[in-house]
Amino acid sequence: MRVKLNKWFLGIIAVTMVLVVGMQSCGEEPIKPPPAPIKTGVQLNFAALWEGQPLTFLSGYFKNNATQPEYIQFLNFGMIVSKLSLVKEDGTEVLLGDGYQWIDFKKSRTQFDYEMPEGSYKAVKFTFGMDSAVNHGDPNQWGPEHPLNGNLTGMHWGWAGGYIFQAIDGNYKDSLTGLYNKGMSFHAATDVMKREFIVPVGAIGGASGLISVSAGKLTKVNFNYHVNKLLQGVELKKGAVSHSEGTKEAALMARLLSNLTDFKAFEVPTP
Amino acid sequence: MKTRIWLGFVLVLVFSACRKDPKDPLINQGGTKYVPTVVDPTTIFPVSKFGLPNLPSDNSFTEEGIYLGRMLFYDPILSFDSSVSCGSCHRQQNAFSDPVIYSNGIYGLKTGRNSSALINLAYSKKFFWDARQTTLRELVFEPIQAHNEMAMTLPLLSKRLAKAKRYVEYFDKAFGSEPNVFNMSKALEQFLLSIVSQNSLFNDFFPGRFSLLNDEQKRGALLYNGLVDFDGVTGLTTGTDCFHCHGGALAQQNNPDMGGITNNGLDGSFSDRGFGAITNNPLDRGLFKTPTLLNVAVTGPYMHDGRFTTLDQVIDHYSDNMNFQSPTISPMLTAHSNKQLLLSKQQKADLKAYLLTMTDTVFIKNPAYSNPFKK
Repeated sequence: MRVKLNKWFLGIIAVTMVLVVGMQSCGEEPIKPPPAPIKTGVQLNFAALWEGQPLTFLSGYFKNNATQPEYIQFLNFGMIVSKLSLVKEDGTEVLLGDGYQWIDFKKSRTQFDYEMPEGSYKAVKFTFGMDSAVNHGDPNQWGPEHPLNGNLTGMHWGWAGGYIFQAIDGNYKDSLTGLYNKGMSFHAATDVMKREFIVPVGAIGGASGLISVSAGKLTKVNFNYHVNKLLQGVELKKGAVSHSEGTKEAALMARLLSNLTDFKAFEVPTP
Repeated sequence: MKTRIWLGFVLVLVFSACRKDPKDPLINQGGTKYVPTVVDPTTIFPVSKFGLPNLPSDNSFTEEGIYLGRMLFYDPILSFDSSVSCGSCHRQQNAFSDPVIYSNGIYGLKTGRNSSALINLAYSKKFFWDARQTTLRELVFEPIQAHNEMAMTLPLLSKRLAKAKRYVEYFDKAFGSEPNVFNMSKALEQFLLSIVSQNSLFNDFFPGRFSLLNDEQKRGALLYNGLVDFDGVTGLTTGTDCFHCHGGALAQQNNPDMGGITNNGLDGSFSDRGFGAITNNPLDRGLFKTPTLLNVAVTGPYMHDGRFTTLDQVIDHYSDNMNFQSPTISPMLTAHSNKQLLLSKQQKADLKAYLLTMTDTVFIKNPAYSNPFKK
C-alpha cells in the first residue's frame, strides 16, 4: 500500500510539473528585457577639440597657426584603435571590451560604456592601428557591427592596404577671402604607422589623477583629442595629403603621429 | 508503466494545444496553417567575399517573402495605369539599371535622375542618388507614388492587390495576412536585399589573386588601387586612386564621410543639389551617393544625370576634365595640388580593362532575380 501511494504521489507531481512547464511555453513570447545597464564600469567619451573648442564639421574654418596661418574646414574625422584599455595603479591593464573601437567624431560615435572591475586606474592605453595579422586579415570575419567590419566603417582599403586607423579629411584655404578650397586628406595606415599611446589621467600640465571605478557606478571619463596639436607646425600648402605610403607622404604622416606625442595631443582629465 | 503512458499523453495534449494558439501569426483566419520556409542569410550572401550585412531584425528572409517581392517587383499593376513595374526601369540585363538617361514613367513622363543599379543593396545604408532613404521598405513607396514614375495611390494599390488571387495566396503564405501595402514593402525589401552580385572576375581576384588577371587588367588594378600612386622621389601622383570611393570587394564606399556621398568634380555650379537638397547644408551641394562599380560595363549611362554614355567618357572625366573649381569637390580629388591626372592612352585602356572584370554575367541572367511572369 505504501509503495502504491508513493507511485501515485510521484506521478501527480510529475504531471503537475509538465503542465506548468507546458503552459508556460504556450504563453506569449515573454518580452525580452532591455540589456541590463552596466552597473560597474566606465563611460568613455571622446571629444575632438581645436584649441579647447569642440571641432565642428561642414561649418566654419579653424585657424591653423603654422608659419603662415591656414584655415581648415573639417569634413570627416574617424579613427580605429585596438588594445583600448585602462591601466591600474600597479601597472596591470584591463582591456575595454575586446579592445577594438571605431570612433567617428563627425557621426558623434564617441561614447562607449564598458564594464570594469572596481579599482583605481591611472592611464588610458591604446594603439592606433592593430597587429599586422589583424590589419591584413580577412575583414569579413567580423560581425556587421564590429569596429573592424570594413563595410560598417569604410576604414578598410581592401587587400592592398589593410585598415585606415585615422582618417581626417577636409578643405583648407590660405586666407579666408580665398575663393576656392584645396583638399586636405590624412589617412594613417600600414603596419609602419602603428603607434601605441599611454595617456596618464590628469589635465595636461596638471597633477596626475586617478579614475575610480566603484561598485554600482558608471564613472564618466572624458578623452580629449586636441586636433590642433596634430597639425602643429604643419604647413598644408607644402603637403596636405598623406596616405602613409611613398617617401614624402610617409614622412608627413610620421610627423603628424609624432606630433601627437610631442605636443601632448591627448588628455584624460581626472573625472 | 501506467504513469509513463499517462505522462506521455499529457505531454502530447499540452504541446498540441500550444500549436493551436490563435495568437500565432502563422495561422490565418480560415484555421489553416502555412509555415513559410525561412532562408538562412548565409545562403544568400557570400560571407567569405563580402561578410554578412546588417539585416533588418523584423523581416527575416523566407522563400515565400522573397518570391512575393519578386512578383511585386515585376508587376505593372503597382503603377496607376498598369503600364510600368519596378523592373521596367531596373532591368536585370543592365544590372537592374536603365540604359536610357532618364527612365520612362507612366504616360511617357520622365524621371528626374538616371535610374540607379540595384546591386548588393543589403550592404548599403543610404539609398537614391541623393542618399535620402535609409531603408528599402520605405524607399519602395517613393517610385510607386511618384507622379512621374508609377503614380499610384496606396488605397488603390491595396484594393488591387486584394483583388488579385495570386497575391491573396502569396501574402497569406509569406506573412499570414491579406494583401496590404505594409507587407508589400516588406516583401519588396526581402527581394531587393536578396539581389547579390558576386561572380565577376573582379570578385574572384579581389583578395589580390593577380594570377587571374591578364597584363592589361593587372596594370589597371594597380592604377585603380593606388599601388602605383606614389612616386617616392617626386611625391607626385601617377595613379588614379579609384579605390578610395569604389574600394573593397563591393567596389563601393558605404561610409558617407569616407567617399560614400561625394562630389566627383562634374560641375562648377549645381542645377541638381543632390544630397545638399536633403540636408540644406551648402557644403553638401552637388554631392551624390557613390555607386558600386560592380557590373559597371552594363550600367551606363553614367552619373546621376546620365551625362556619360561610355566608360571611356567616364575615364576621360577623371583623367582630364575634373572641375577643381567645383565648390564642394571631394578633398580626395583635390588633395594632389588640383592637377589633372592626364593618364596616357595605355593607362586609360588598362583601367578600362580592369573595370570590365567587374561584370557578373551570372548575375545579369540569374533566374532567381528574373521576371516570374515570363515563363
